[in-house]
Amino acid sequence: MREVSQRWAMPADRADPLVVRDGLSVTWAGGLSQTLISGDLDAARKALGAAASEVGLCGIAGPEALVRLARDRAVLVSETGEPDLPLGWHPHGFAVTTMSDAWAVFDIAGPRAAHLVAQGAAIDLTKADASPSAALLFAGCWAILYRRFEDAARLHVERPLAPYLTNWISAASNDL
Amino acid sequence: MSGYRLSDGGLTDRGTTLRFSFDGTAMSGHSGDTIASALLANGVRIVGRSFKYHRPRGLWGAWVEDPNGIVDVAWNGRTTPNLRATTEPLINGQEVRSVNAAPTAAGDRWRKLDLVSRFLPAGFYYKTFMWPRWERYEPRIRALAGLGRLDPGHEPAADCAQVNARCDLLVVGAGPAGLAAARAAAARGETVLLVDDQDAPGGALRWRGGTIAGSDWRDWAEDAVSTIKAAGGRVLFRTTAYGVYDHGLVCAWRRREAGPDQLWRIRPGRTLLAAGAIERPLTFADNDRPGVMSADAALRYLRLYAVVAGRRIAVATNNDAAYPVAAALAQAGADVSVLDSRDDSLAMAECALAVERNTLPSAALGQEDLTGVLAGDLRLEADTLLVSGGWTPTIHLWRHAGGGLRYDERLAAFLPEGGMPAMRVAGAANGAFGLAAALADGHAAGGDDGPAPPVGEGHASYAIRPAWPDPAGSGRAWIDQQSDVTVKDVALAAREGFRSVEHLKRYTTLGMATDQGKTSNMAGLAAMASITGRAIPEVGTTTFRPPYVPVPLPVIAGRRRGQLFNPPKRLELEGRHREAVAGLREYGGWLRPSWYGADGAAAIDAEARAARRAVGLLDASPLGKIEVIGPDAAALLDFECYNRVSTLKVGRARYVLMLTEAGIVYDDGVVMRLAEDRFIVSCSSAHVAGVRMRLEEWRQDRFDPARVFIHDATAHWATIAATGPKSRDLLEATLPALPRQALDLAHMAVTETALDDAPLRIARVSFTGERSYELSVPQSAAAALWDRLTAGLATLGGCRLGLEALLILRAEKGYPIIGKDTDGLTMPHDLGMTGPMKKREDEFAGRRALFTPQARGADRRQLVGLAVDESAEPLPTGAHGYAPSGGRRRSIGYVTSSYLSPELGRPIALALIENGRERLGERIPLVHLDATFEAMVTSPVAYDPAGMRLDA
Repeated sequence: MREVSQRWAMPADRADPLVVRDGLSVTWAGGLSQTLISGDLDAARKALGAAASEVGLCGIAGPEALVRLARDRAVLVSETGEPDLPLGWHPHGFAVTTMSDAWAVFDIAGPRAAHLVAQGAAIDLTKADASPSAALLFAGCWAILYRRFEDAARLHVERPLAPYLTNWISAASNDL
Repeated sequence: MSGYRLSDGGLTDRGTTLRFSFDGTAMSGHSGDTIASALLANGVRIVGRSFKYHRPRGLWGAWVEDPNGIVDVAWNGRTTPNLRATTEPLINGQEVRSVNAAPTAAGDRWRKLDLVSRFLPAGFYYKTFMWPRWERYEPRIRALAGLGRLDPGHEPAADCAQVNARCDLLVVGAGPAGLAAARAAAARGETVLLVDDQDAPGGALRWRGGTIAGSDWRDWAEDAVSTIKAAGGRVLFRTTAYGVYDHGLVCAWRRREAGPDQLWRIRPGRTLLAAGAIERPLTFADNDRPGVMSADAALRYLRLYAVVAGRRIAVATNNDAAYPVAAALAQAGADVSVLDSRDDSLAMAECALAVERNTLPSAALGQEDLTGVLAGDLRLEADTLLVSGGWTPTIHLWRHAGGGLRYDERLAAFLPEGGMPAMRVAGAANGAFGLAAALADGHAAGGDDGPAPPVGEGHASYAIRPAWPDPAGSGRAWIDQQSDVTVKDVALAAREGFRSVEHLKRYTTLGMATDQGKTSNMAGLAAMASITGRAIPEVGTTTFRPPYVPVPLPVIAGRRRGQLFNPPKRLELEGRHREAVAGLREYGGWLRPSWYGADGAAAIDAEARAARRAVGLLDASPLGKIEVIGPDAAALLDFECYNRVSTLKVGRARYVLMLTEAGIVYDDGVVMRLAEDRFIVSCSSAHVAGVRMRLEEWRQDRFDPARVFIHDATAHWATIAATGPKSRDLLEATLPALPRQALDLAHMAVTETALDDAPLRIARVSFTGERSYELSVPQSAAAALWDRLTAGLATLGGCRLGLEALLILRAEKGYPIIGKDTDGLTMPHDLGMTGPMKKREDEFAGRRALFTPQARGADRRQLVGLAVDESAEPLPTGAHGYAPSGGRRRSIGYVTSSYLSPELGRPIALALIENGRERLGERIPLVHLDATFEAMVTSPVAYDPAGMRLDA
């Protein structure tokens, strides 16, 4: 009976760096907490009581950042653990869902990071005010893109599409 | 054979000799040659045959405007069809073959076809070859026509990068105007992206030369490029901006020596088009003879490649631009004479050559090759005729962007009219002919209000006397050489009522060939103007559409092939499934296990049996997990779902349908209530994105968007379903820490707990009819849970369950798959779900459509089961049930799912049958292809109709 297990290669091991070459490294960013918040984002920020910076497309985020996806939607990304915020509806007017395992996260760093990003999306990585929303289409996938440092981009994509994106990154990084 | 290469000069690398062949004849060229320049240097005159009449065709142009030099090129074992000889670099070892010719361009066996050309005029296929029918002739005619031949063994690599770029100013064209504009903009601090399809800056300066700012133009051009780069800009050569699209997006095809081609998507702040102009032909009898060539092209071949187009050359012109060509060729040693339609001009006065005034060619002489020129009573011996009928500004991208045109009588050309904030045009493309004018125009367009760089003396003026096609002329005068369109064809089109330029184009195919009429459109519309007694602007132009030049499909396709083409979503547990020898298939955009084991059919049978008798373990992770949160969540779901949701108690789940506004079943699923204001919609795997968008649409359109939110958490959770009478035993044995109330959960109940510090959600939901538990954990905990559960399967006689077995199990129970067992007309009552439409009085999506006469008709196709003899083969899926009607078969529906049930030991089937529930017990005939069958209409539920096994 027909089946296609040979057509699609086994996904890459997340323990391995994806790309290491002159001017570019692409690695998995594991262990991040990702919490989707919709509604009154000011109220959510007060409830968090943390100094999470708010970033949009290509903005530079700190260890904890409220990454804007829409006027009333953001994802709280933290390198320091899950926020103390119950899931579900909050009477102050916002909804909270944990998404830590929903999005695979890639760190794209180095002087050539912008060249790689330019193959995936119509944005200039060096412009921090590209858009208030960090949501975009990247290599055909819905994604979230901002910077962690000056020449280090951070990319979130839906976890089930991570194998595709690793293949895409591998191909694109061969021709920068 | 008259073209030849000078012993020195040109820009090719004389130290490198490249061997190639043309139509099987060995030839040589140099690094830096194009295929066309090498052919010309080797004396080749006939480079191909015309599309329709197989007339001999030689090179007309030297770049993208050339209509004739189309060749198939084999290199490195692979053949690429339809390359343009004028733009394709010569490479050592190329085997070049002419197109539309057999066996060679010079010896084409079909050349006598031209003798019957009177029977093949424009649009002949609309009115001849009609008896007995066109299709009888069409294959033969098509085989005779056409261009290159595909190489089935050549699958180009899918390695073309697609690069996005932004800049303040995009300049298209690195000629004098483009360089001046880019230089000026860069000097003002703008980020400039300059693209040009040649491999060096300068545009026409490269072959016409010039002095700028007191020195050779090359110094100035080099300085301009440095200025652009110093300001953070880029310069891309061998890059053709081929189209302007929505919101000012400019697409460019970049060719590289090292590395595959690229597609650049450029989003500039504004665009400056400085693409120059293309020389027009003159129209006279047999002006398509090999040896008739653009004068500017001849100069280009001379200066860039040191190739002289002929030895005895006549130059015919109606403007001053051809005089430097005549002078250069004479200086190179050719015997040159000049014909000019005008009585006098500045260039004519300065010309040292003999000039026949008030004279233009009336015919080209010769058969397969040019032997002379007839100009009224004058007969000139010539092997080459260079013509210049004026210049057509290259305003294609301007028109792509929506720019207007005006006809300039003085220049006899259409020029850009008006302005657009995002684009302007400069240089020859803007009618600024001549070096000084082009520089000044570009300099100003770049934003510099100061004086433009001064130019040296000796640059010819541009004075033109229009010379349009003469409809009364004798012989066949060619307008479109690639599409074989003559002046008489235009007249024929006018006589037959195709007077609009758009109709002219489609009737005659004028301008529809791969060169897109770069040299023919102006002559064509001028001919139509003359024939119909209108002015040229009244006739107008056809629509300019991208691409400006043919772009290779691999460039457009990019890397979308193999692992990067239409990739499915991947399961977190894929590695575990592969270890268990899963056969994988794509289901609803996901790569999922179909079965486990080497023998698929046997595995499916065994898995279905095990799930009925013990327990099956299914990776159900793709099932939707869309959270609906907020005070209005229940109201939103009430509206979105056919079944009422607000009455659901916390900790309970309900099967629901979702309808389109037309009342058609869009999807089904289970809604779970986790809190008063928090639900999870577990829709079918393939419909997650669609259901999310529908929820979002209704949320934003109908509800207070501050009181309800949609969070699609599908990707966060892995879901593992244990189904079968021993599913509870499996959980109890392998997950001993689970609280008892989780194990004792009632059917359609849901609870949240934890497992090894990871959240765990358990739902008693069944898609098999057996007791089932859906266990959802974050993806990072999925492998541990799967390992624990699978470790307990063998003891209980259970196994992993693939999708194919699941499809059988659900079909035995009559559970439909939306989109498979329903179609674009199926409403909920067709599935037997009539309760909500009878009881609900509030509004919900699709409600009103359920009460139309059509929705309540007696002939609706309803979901039923079909039974055949136990010994029979399963019915073919797609087989139609029919009723005899006037000696023919009228379809009354079709089989949607059909399987051999391992548990029942007989075939089962689901079908949508007209008025099916009224036919229970009726035997109906079915047909599939040529085979007929008979089946009895039954209830869709073939197994456990009382539903006793849900709590077994």
